[in-house]
Amino acid sequence: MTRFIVFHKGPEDVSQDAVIKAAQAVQSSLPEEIKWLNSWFVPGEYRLICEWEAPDEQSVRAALKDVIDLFPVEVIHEVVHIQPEWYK
Amino acid sequence: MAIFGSPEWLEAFHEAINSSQTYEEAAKTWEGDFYFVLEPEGVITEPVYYYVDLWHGKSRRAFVVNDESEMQPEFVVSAPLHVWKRVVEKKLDPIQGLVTRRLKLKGNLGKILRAVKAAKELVNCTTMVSTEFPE
Repeated sequence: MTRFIVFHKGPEDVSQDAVIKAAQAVQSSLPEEIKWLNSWFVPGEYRLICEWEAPDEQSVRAALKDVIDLFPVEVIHEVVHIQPEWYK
Repeated sequence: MAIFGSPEWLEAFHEAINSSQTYEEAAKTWEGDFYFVLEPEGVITEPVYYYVDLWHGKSRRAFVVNDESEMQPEFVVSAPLHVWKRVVEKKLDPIQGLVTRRLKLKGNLGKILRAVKAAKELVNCTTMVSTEFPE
């Protein structure tokens, strides 16, 4: 399965409820072939970086349809995962 | 040693904030006051409201409020004692607590997320207070 890194812009004004509802909506509506793997918040840049596993970029965009108003997508990169264990 | 949440503890916390250069630097642009609410649990039978006015890296005022309506802070952060204990002991990151609602928030989460370093340094200030938790 292909991995993707999604860069989101952080919301200007948002409630805790809105963030949690959005995250739960994404998680509960994911098709089996798409996985939300991880997210990191970058405080200094006020960005959210999320790692996904999906068949293609369109699948990731479809999975994010309920949150793009809250966390607009800046860019999606298809990436290759490199594991530190490979270098032991 | 001050009991967590007592007026003595809050005064020591207020002094710890105002003596922390690291917090002052991290929160130099922060403007916003809080209620930190200790929710009823165990020996805590009624909610306790702590008002803390944070402004440009300093605590301007910090006191226990008897009546919730006494102040109208920009933010209200609420949790039971066992959650606050995990935050103070650095077992629960405050931002993780906020985005998972272990720490319940009223107010603009976005403004706090823009000030993550300040939030973490504020937690660090609690570790400067010799704290005993009520059983």
